[in-house]
Amino acid sequence: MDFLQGILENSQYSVVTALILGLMTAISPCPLATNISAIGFISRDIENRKRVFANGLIYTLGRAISYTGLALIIYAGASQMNLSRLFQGWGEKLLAPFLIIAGLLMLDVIKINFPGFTGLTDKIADKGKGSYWSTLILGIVFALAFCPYSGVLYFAMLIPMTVAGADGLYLPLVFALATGLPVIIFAWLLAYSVGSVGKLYNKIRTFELWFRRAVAVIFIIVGIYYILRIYVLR
Amino acid sequence: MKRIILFAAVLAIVAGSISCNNQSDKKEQSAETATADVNVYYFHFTRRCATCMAVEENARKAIEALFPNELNTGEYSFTSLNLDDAGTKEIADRLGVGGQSLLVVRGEKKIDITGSAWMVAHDPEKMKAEIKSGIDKILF
Repeated sequence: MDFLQGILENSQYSVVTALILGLMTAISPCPLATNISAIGFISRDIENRKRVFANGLIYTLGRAISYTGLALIIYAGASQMNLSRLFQGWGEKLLAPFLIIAGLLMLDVIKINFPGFTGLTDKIADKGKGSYWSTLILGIVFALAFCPYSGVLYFAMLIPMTVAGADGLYLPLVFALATGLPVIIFAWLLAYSVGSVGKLYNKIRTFELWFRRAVAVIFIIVGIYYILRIYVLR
Repeated sequence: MKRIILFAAVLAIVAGSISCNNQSDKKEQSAETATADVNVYYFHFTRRCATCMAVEENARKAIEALFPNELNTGEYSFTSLNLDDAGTKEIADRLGVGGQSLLVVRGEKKIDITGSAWMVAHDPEKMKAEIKSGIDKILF
């Protein structure tokens, strides 16, 4: 962290600053927990290597949509004060129940049966052709869950640089790429290193069901971790 | 597409359940509007990170070390306010505070040193320099 701060202090270029701010966000404890959940989520499709890597990129795209979208709304004239208060005050509080409910849905502990939507819950952890959407939404939601630390990096540091002029509007993309970098790297390793070990690959296929359950449990554990942080250990 | 609807439904349920039961123990603490000439405000939410705590502690210490006389005479002040407290809303609105911030305020003039203070949160000496530079800027 000190190393990154050193670069930040001496940086003359806003693109470097945005990159460093993103990396600092990625490795700070609270966003790291969401990134670990995301790595679990996208590696459910371990039997399809390309899909795992693509999911890593799509998760990062989801983050980029959130960060850029928020910046554009502020640039367009929305009150930065109100938006910042909303997301910094609520983002993290909403994340915990979201993770737990998503985990329970994946485990099929709770089923939501809307008329005409039967069997949906079976598909949430499905590797069917639509599953990129859930990864994208995961990226969007996780990015909006601002923690006390990442909230300052985004709203107090990145946003002023971004909305200073139209030529700064690409900076949230750089920031998003950096925040998603751990997930992209893991996705790449999973896709092209783990997958290439043939025997292990076949074993993973066998254990896939259990692997998916483990992912669901990770979501629930991370959700409980957030609840403890927010409501108990403060 | 179905998944999008499902995720949206989950989000809606979560949002609904949270907004109903999040009346956490709000300590009613009226925001004292400091009457000093130069006010340093630290705004935060109830939930804070280690760095956030360090910013408050080191900023407070920096002012105490740099301007002990001005603090005693009431010329300068340091105030920490929780944005989750209802009483803080008025001053937060007036100063345009949207989240965690460290501000140097003098009359209508306001200098936001949040970003730079965050970068030196754990370094008391550098924090002193940031606070001093903020106060110098607002005086001249």
